[in-house]
Amino acid sequence: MNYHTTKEIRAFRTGFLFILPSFLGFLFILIFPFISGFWLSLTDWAFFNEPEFVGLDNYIGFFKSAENLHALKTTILYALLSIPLLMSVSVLVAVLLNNKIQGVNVYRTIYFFPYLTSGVVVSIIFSNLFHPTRGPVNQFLDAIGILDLPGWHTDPNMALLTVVLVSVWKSFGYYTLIYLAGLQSIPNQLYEAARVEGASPWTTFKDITLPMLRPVTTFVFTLVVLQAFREFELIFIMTEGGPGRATMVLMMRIFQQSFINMEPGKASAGAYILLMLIMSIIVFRNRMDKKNSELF
Amino acid sequence: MNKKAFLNKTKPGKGKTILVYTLLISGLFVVLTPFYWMIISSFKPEMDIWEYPIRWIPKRITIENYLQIFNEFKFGLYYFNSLKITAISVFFEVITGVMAGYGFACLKWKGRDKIFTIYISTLVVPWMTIILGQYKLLSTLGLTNSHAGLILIHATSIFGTFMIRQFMLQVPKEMLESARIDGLNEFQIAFRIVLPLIQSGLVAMVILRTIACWNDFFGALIFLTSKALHTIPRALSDFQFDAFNQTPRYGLVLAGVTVSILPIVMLYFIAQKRIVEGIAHSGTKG
Repeated sequence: MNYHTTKEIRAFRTGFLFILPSFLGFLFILIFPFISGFWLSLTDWAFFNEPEFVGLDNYIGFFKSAENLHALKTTILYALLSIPLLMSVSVLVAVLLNNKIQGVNVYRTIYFFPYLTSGVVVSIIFSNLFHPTRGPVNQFLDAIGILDLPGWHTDPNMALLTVVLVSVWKSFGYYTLIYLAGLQSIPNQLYEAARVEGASPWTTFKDITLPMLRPVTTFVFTLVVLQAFREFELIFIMTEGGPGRATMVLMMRIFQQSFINMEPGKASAGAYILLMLIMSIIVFRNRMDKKNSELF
Repeated sequence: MNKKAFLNKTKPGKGKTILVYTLLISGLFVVLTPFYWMIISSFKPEMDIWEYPIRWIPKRITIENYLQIFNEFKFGLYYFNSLKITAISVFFEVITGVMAGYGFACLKWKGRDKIFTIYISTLVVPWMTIILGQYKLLSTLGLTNSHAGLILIHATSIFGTFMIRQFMLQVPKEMLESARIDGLNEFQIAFRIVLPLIQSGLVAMVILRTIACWNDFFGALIFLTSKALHTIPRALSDFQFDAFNQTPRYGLVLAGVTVSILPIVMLYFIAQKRIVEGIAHSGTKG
């Protein structure tokens, strides 16, 4: 038997009333499109036709398409490059900032600023800075005597790395803030004990700081994974997936397939596959973490 | 957050201090130089931008680029569009967010936490995954290529609701209880008691959401096709692509970019302390 007291019913009504406006938006703008997008991925929708059900054809077809597989490969490569780089830069800067120095807040504030600018702005600035002939970066390299000037985002072998560098520049400040807060909760005595025992800075970092940071690192990892797999603006503006298909990550490929090739049904399947990829990584990492903490 | 927490480490030795300062100051250069280049180039005549060797202190200064983007290239219109969409969207985000935040933080009701968990789990979903569904929805309503459509998409912010709930959770329960005993209804408690208490957090949320909406490119890309409806990020992107196709006028692009960053710099200047500390806390509580 399932009965509710009048108090409970009234509490529910009030609570629900408060979240109602937000909940309606949530339903219409997030949940409903999520479901209908999934439905559309099971059809042959091409914007102007009546979508016809095709079952899992788009999903199977996704893995048969060389373009899609290349996009998948590029996305994973992008993630493998950007995730470790972003996390290491952020934690190292946080460790630097965690010293007793003047003006920590100034550094914090300035390092965080690029995160607030738009990807369009950053892309425009850096595609000019990195221009292979007239850009200041290569002019500087030339001035210090480097002969083989890198092509940066115009070189198919370097373009992905260039985008990674720009994205690290743009967002490290945000993760540094999070790490910094985590670092402050590490008790001083641990560092004192390490100092007394003559531990080197690197050993201290490896054996005290990093393990104590584990919960923060998990949180940052989730955020960085989400960022890496969802990167769109930087690529769209700086390289448009090129040169060739050097930076054609999944997000860019889905966009191309949907709005340029006019095959939104197929593209939608790709988008749900992307979602599943992201979720499996996060779930996998959580499982690994559980296992590791059980070992301790 | 107290200042002491920052200064709790032992004072490092001289060599280490020099190293730390060197690295940190180099970091400042790495972060600020691109912006500095952007600004000075926007004030240079086109020829001077690509001078070699580059002049970090411009020889000649002109405001021609700025005049041109507003006169010839209708930047005023795009600025207005951005302002309009951002202001209205954030307004709705605040209203829905404050109400929902109160409902999740200060009221107890069945299913509350389950629904909130579903809310949070949607943050993992990339926009690209739901955008086609959103597009179909808006096209059924006839709102594609309209400001109203884009505002509708932005009208509710899960992240904003999350932030507000975090702040409201810190309001002491006793305060709510005594207000209820005094006979105030929940609406009055929410707006007359809780809202003033979280105002500094609310300011941080408004500024972050304003910046996010101002910067939105993807939404404008998909849901605004007519040039007259474009927001600044789209205008800039058009500029950038034009710069490569026609006679390149990089001074114009960079002037546009500088102008678009200005509101963000101002907002950041006003609220940076709150924003930075709000984020620093999200890791430890999250």
